[in-house]
Amino acid sequence: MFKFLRKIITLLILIGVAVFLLKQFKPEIALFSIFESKPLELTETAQVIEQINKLAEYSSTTYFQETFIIKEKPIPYFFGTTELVITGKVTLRVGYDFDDLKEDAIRIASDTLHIQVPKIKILDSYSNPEDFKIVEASNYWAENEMQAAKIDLINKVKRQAVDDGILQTAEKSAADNLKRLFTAFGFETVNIIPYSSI
Amino acid sequence: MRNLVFIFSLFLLLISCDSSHKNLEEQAAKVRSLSELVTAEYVISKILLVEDDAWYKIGDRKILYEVKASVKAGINFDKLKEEDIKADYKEKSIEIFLPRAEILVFKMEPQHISLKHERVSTLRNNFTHQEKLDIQKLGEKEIQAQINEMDILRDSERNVVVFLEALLQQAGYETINIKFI
Repeated sequence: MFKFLRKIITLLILIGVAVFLLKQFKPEIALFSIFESKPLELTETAQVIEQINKLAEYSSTTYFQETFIIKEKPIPYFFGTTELVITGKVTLRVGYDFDDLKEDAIRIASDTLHIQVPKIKILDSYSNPEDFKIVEASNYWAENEMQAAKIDLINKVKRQAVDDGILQTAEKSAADNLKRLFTAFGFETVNIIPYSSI
Repeated sequence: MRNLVFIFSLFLLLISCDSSHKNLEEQAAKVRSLSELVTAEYVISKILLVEDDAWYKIGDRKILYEVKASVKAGINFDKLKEEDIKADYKEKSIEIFLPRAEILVFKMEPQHISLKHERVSTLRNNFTHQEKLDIQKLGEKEIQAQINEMDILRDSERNVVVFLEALLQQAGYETINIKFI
């Protein structure tokens, strides 16, 4: 009886090892494709323009970073923990929102154009679904936890960018660009007055 | 018996070699200088619906997301050449040939993707997180594919003209002529 049981266990282990090796080194051989779902397709739905906004955002710098976030939580009613690992590419656009420009922000004194620029800020910080990759996520993680992790990842890059001095870099770049632009517009001397000096 | 232990140990060793997230490394940030003026934004909403059923499967799966995307368009001043601006400050006149407006930002942020409905029959597997992300990616592609059918570029160019005219008037110009090339 013991011999028979041993043979069965050996056989099962050998099959397990063979399947594992096959999946590792020859993944194109679809052993279990019959149980797999067909590729997902979206049902046709309308696309609605909800809002049209008139903007005046001047971007002088973009900041791009690919990073990751790891979260851990205990498995409910069980010992141990489960990890959530997501990577994402985050883009920031930094510059001026000219809607914040004061009425008397532009003035001319002799041949010099003085522009009092608004406060530099992060105009956009975003990651689209195409930018994310799920490295590890068990079904213990709920949808809202997944979304929260993605938002945390974006905020992490935002904080990193501010620590890296992105606002100062963008402010300098914006001043240089605007000076060049207004010089091309026919002004001999252009004086950009930064928000911080007001 | 020794063989059995050896095979079992080998099997355990193989399955423990999953290094999926051990090699993650933070990449250095890339900073790029640019000169862009965004003048129009469209906020688009869309329902992402997947009905996963097939005649050979028992039961079905359905999932529904409501998503919002933002598209921003404007002018890239880096494409503006010196010869595109003809300014005569003494005569108070200026003529500018601007580059055409283009899509500068497309964003479909996680906070604007909300799961509204999910139903899975008993004999079917739940939607995995990867499948859910794939659905969102499909939605992103569909929205992007239809951007060109919208009037955002025309709106953006109109807004650029209004903005620059006001700015140049404030700077002292009286005759302002802005065209697109």
